[in-house]
Amino acid sequence: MNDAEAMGATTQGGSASATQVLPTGAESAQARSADVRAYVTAVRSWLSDLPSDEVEDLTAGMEADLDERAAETGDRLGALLGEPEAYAAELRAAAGLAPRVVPVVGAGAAGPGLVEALVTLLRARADGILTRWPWLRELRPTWWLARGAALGWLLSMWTGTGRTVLLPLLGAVLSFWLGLTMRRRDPLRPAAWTSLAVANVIAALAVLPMVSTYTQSYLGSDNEYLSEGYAPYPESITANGEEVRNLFAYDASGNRLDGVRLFDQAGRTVVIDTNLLFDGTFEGIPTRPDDGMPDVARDVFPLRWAGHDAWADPRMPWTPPLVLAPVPGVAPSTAVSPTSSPTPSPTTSQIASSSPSPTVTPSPTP
Amino acid sequence: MEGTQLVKGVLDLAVLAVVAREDGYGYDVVRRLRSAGLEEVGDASVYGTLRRLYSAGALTSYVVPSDEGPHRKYYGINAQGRHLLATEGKTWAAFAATMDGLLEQAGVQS
Repeated sequence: MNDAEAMGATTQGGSASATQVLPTGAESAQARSADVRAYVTAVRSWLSDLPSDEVEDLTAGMEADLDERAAETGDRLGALLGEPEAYAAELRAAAGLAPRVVPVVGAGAAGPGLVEALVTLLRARADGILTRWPWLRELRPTWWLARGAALGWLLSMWTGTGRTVLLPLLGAVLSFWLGLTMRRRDPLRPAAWTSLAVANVIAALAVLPMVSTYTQSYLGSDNEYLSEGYAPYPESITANGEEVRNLFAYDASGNRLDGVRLFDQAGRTVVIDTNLLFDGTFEGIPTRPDDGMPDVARDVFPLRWAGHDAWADPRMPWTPPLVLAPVPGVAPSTAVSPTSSPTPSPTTSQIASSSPSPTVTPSPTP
Repeated sequence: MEGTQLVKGVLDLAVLAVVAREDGYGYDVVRRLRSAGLEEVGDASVYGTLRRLYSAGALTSYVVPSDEGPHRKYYGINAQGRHLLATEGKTWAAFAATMDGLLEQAGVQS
């Protein structure tokens, strides 16, 4: 019983079904009058090719009559009277009016007449749908926006401008304006109506791909962030726009420094995001068993790990020189000859690369 | 022959006869036709006929406003309609008499 009532309530004003019986009570009067209005509107739309005063004459009082008709049995009008189309045809035949112009399907039938007839037919259907579900009207502005965005997006795809935000926005604004303007206008001429209908259909088809593209690009950038590290890491430091993966320090005399720890102006330790070490430059990095992160001290430079000499890693794009020229005005330390050039001499270079242990490097000058 | 076909031929006359007795709105006319025995009469056919008779000048029409709900449209007969009813009625009577005679000769009980 409750189910039957719920069904009656949800399909209220919906399509006329032969088995549908309206609920009883005050609710039913409301449902019935919605059903009657929908039926009358549908009949009128099937008469829409007639002069409007003729349509008025034919349908004046029809609502009251049909309401009474429906109230007698409680059935839907569709079940009592048949389809509005047939009802309208019978009405105009009995009134001695010409039958409605029906598109003739067949060879040689195509032409302006056919298009016009089709447009009238579709319009009548659209009117019927809007009467059955009046809330659709309230979704129109939303559709205008979506339609414009979809067409703008299509345009940006076609032209390949890459303006995938600007064009949809522009399209949405234009379409909204168009929608408002059209609503105030008289019914459109068939040609204009057809173009609008075609645009609507194209937009409707484009909405889904557009949404999926935007969703994918959002998720996609997220994935890139995780897997390829395009986005800057929050803990990383950069130099010349590139993430720093290691740091090599020299003291004032130009000697290599090991075990350097750095701090910024706020006392924060400068660290390297060790995830960056997984980019293929370094291999065989030991990982911690608990979380799989590199087992490397992130704040001691140059970064080093078991079996790896940061100063002489052949896979690095740059080999740090053994010594640099001392800072002007600073006395070179005794460990290195003051005549050393920034580019190490062949002998020192050989020594450096042949001695993998970095602990032989001189200690900082006092 | 189907009853609906017969009704179509005499619907003008039937509608005129119903309205001649008392003014009525569309569905009221339909109901009176049905209770008189014309079960097969179609709603829309009656509405269309009323409209056509009105356009032809055989009926008058007036709207009765309603406080609650939509207005009703009543039809009434006028002098021209009564004249039409009288002449069409005679035609029908002659036709019916002819048919009765034919059927009687064939031995069909009417």
